[in-house]
Amino acid sequence: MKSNTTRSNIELRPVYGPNDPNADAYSERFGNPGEYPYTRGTRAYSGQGWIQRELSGEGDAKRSNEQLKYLMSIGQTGLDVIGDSPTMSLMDPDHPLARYTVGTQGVSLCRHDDYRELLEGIPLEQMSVSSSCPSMFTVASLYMLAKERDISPGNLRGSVIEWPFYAEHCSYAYKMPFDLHLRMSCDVIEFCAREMPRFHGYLEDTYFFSEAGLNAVEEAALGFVEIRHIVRTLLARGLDIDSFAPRIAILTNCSMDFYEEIAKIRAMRRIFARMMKEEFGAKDPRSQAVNIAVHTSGLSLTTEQPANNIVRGAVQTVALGLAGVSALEISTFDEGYRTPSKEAHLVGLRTQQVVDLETNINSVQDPFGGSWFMESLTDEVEAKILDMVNDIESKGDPAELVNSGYFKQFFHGTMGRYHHQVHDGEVVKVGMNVHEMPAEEDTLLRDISEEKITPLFDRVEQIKRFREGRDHPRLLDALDELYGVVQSDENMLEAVIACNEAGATMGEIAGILRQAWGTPYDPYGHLESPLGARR
Amino acid sequence: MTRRPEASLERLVDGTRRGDLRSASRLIRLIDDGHPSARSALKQLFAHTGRALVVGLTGPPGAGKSTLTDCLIEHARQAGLSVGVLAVDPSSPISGGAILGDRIRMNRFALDEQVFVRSLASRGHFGGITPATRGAIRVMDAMGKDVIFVETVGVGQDEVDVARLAHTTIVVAVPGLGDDIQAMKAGILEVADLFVVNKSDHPDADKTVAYLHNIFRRAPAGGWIPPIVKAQALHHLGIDDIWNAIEEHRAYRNAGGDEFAEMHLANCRKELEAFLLESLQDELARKLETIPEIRGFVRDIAVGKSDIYATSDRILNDMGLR
Amino acid sequence: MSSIRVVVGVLGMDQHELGAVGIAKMLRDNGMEVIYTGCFNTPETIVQTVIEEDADVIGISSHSWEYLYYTPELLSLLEQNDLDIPVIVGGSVITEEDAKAMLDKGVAAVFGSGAVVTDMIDAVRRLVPDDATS
Repeated sequence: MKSNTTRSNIELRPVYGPNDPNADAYSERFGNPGEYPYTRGTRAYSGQGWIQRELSGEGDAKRSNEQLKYLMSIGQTGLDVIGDSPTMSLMDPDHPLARYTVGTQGVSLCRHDDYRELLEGIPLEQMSVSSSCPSMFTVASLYMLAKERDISPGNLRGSVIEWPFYAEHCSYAYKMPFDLHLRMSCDVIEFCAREMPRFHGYLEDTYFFSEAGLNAVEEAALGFVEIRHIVRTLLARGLDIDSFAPRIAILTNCSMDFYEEIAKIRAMRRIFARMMKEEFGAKDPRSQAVNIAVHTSGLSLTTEQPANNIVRGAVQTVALGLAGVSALEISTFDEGYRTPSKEAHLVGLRTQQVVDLETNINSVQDPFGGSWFMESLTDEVEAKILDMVNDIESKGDPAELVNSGYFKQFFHGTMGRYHHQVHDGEVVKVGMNVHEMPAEEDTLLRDISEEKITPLFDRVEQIKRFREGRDHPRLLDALDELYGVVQSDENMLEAVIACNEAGATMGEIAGILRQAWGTPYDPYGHLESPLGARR
Repeated sequence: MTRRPEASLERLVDGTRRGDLRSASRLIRLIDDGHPSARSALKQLFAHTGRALVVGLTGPPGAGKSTLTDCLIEHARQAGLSVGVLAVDPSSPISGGAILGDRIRMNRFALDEQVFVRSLASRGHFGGITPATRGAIRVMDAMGKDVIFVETVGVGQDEVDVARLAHTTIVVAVPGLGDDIQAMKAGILEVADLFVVNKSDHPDADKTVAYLHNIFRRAPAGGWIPPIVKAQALHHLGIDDIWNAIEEHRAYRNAGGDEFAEMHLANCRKELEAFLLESLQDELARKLETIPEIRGFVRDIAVGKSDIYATSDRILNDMGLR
Repeated sequence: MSSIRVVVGVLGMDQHELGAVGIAKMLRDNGMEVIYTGCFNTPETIVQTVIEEDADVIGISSHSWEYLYYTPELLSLLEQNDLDIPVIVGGSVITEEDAKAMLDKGVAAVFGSGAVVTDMIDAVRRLVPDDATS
């Protein structure tokens, strides 16, 4: 139960602002929460906190479904699932390269049946389904599930990530040409705008690439470079800005730099609003006000003294509560070694619940608003972000930058920089480079953290058998149809859904996309296209 | 393959002729290391070379050579040809070490037994081509490879070097790489048998093609006007055109004429001279060490008591070379 | 002139390349020739690379548990192919227990997250016998 008074019975007002009506500057630079330019918050005061969830996904769909139900039982109010390494790279579990990673770092998903099993018993109309799994397949399956369950896809809420710029060079290689990846993303966004208007078809994930050692400015700048390019691409397709911009959201990182992370979020809201309104001509306030969700930084955690990570998560949660975010996931204390254990999930959610319920953090929006310090810092962070965006865009066509390896080099540079900073003690990490402990004494929570997850060897067999049992002529027709659609201007989603219905796997669909685009079906050189002589 | 003294050279030579990868690979190492037995091996293999089509690829960094090579390998394999690839990268002038990373772009052929990819470091040679490269080409040829791609970095003299070794030299360029096309040294433009303008979806691509067409309006000495082919290696576009150009060039060479015979003679002469020079340099270095007075000579030069001209005359005289 | 030739790469789906790139640079700066094979390798592709490149040492960089499964496969494949090549494994997720297990299986040297670069260079030099110029 939330109170709007302090322990000493001082009443807390939802928003504090200047009494003195220097209203122009205020409304131009800050606005009340829920007012342009949304510096102080995306929405007006509601008394509700943020959507509380933990990133989940492990083993097969069934195990992950149980994990989801467990998390819901301990109070998560949204859900987010990540795929294992093969899934995130659009690779089936029976690919030769996948063999020792099936289900170890996320859930193994490769067919619609898996998605159905993953979300069995999850109330899609009540639950916000955020997925960190490949967007096109998630959206296709969600749409199909809605139909199967007699739900209007228009009632689905949640998000999928689009990352054509950075995924290839920063953890999740699709091994696809940039322009193909971009086409996929835009098709998903367009499809969602049309068929699932309450669903965020475009979550800009700055978290994952910023874990390559980027600072707040670099993270936001690269995020905006991508957003701007995708928006331009969609506009070039003839779409109206207000038809898709309301469903753009951001998933950002949160490091231990307490003040700067708050300033970053405030600055991002303002930058987004101004960009949408002034540059892209968005009229709908929902296009201008962007929801910002957060995943706290795994890089900020240590493998040494895992208990310290619990403190880090709590501090970051407080920062984010003060900044005002739409959803939050804490990187769990065992992050250094593994995907979250049950215990770590529990601690993560409890951390959020304690901050949410026991402090007055949700009683006042943007409490830092008007602080000389915070406004000054927000301005500075904003200016730096804009400078960097301009700088990158002045280097030429973003597609060319991607293809020439500019961002890959950039990430290598930032990773090296971070390692040196830690090595030299410039970045202080309690337990790692200061207040260290001999390994034999550092036992608290170690056994949980170091537990390893065994690869799912059975799943490989399962998929092999599944392949054999399908209606092959129907499957080949569907894949062939998809091939043609890829080479046309049509939105791919319908054809992908048809492939799903014919039992196609993610790897097969991805392979056809590559093939239709003129690149090898399997860039790793192990598999042949099922279409064989047909194409 | 530990670096123990050799399994018999005969076995390596025989193995190579039979197409055994390990024998060929070890032999290339011996050649690369300047092992004394390497020369003998090459002598024995020479008679079995001359079958392979050698295609050189050069051009500025970032042009997409390795990606193009990957496409060309695919094409060759689809035609049933056995392929060798030599990827030459520069050694660090400071440490002598090197990072040889070109083969990543051809990774998908890693398990194709008919594709042999070998990385070589330039090892102190300024041109990218080294005696080892020449030897390695001969080894792959003797193995029975139908086509051998030789990829070099393309900064410095090495572009011109590739031309001496290859039947067809492809220069790969990209539009919009600043003034690279304009600034390309005359040497490159002369040795190109085929120009590939990669990343041809770039807005400046046609300008680049036009510029090159202009340069090659008049046929150079050999009578062959290098075709200018547009490609997008990332999307596997233009590869057929490149192969057709290579085939046309082969037909042209075989058909003829004195110009090619002249060029071939000139190339053989240059190669012989280069090899003699290397051999002599090795000999000289060894001989100098055996001259007891050498330290004294050098000291005298250093303090101005003598000069290099008089000193070298004296040494050559003593060696019986003057 | 001869150089030590080292094949450096990452196995399986592990996409953390930074460690491998860093090691490659160190080895180069110490006069070695590094055949850098990047990511998405299997023991089969590593062995094929070693044969084609006549390499002296293999360096595997690992930031996921896959190496626990791949390493024995790699060792076995090297043996089947009669290749007496030392294998060095390095990476941030390697615990002391795992390191011991790897050494027992026949890995020549293992380096965890606290490893010092000079130790790694020394290990490579130690493991490659001097070429008695013959």
